[in-house]
Amino acid sequence: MTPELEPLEPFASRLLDEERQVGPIVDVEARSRVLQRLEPLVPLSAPGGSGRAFSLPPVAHSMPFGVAMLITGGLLGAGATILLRPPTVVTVEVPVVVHEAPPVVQDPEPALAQPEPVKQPVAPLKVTRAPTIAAEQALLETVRSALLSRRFDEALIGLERYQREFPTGAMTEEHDALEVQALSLGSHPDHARVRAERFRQRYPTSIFLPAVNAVSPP
Amino acid sequence: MTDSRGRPNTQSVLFHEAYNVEFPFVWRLVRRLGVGDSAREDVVHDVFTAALRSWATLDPSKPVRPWLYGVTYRVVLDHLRKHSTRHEHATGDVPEVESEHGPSEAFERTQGLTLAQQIIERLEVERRGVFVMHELEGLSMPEIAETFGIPLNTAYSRLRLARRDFELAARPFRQERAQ
Repeated sequence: MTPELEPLEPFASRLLDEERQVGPIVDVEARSRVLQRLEPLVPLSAPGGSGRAFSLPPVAHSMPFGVAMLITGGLLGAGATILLRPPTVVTVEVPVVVHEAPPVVQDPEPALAQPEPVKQPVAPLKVTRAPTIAAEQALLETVRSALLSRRFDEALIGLERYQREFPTGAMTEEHDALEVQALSLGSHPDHARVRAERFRQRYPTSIFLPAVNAVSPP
Repeated sequence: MTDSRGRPNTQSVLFHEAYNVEFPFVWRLVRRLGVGDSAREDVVHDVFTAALRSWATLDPSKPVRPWLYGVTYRVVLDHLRKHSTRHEHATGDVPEVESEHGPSEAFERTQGLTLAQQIIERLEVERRGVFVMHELEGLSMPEIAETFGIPLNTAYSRLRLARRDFELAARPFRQERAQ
């Protein structure tokens, strides 16, 4: 039997409500620093050596860089995808206002086309783009959760749904990377290999490339 | 966590995914449990180190977050006991608050957040754990009892005491803000 709890006094309840509204705190720099410190303990991320928590076999010379990229790619996740992508990924019908695009530090994906020359600034862009990305992000978040819970079939269903609903989505690159992981972890290595190869061709400098290579090596 | 050729296996990939998704929640929980700003990063690092070491014990049929919250609670408890003499508030980085009703309401909300956090920090540490997990993180009481390894009645008892302590500590400020 569940014990009954008295309701909190209104003022105490209001204080708690304010704290409840605080969302998950995303401190990208701290997340990156902590992961760097964890790296020696994470077997995939370092060449073998003594004194580590796990004994690691030697790996190729390129591995540490690849792993660092895997970590970075995993860390930045959806947020990084949005920030680093050029605005062309939004839609082809809507003219893109260059000065409204997020500040792009470096284009990680030179294969993508550059934005069309701007003819006229179009104000509604911000309004239409944000909800789409939020929806894309939410869907890929469910895929990631399914992967974490080892529900690989469910992850694949989510990925198919993404493809159906966002055929020109802004997070296609992350979708494709997750697809390789879901196929590989879900015991479809042959399909995973094909998709991984396609991913490497499409996104040769992707931040998700190490994650793809980790589950389906070239 | 690697196969015979030194490649990452499923566990390793899943751990990275878990890190990716759960880091913001763990960071917030560590703050809510009362770890000061300067120590927070180290504590979060210790949480994921502990999680990594016991990753194999995670029941795959259960969600990761409650399990990770249990790990977080134990690491934070250990940290707070070791550093109980040096008290530092966890409220230095109260999240930025926006309000559609203007800066004065935003300021009030920020003050409310700071106050809530300070009162929570003053709760006895074991009561605080149950209180934060249930009232703020939304875990059910049976989940909390299982996560903390305590009887359900003990969990309820701690929650009831923590709620009472929270109310008592909040009362003077209620009068102050009403004036």
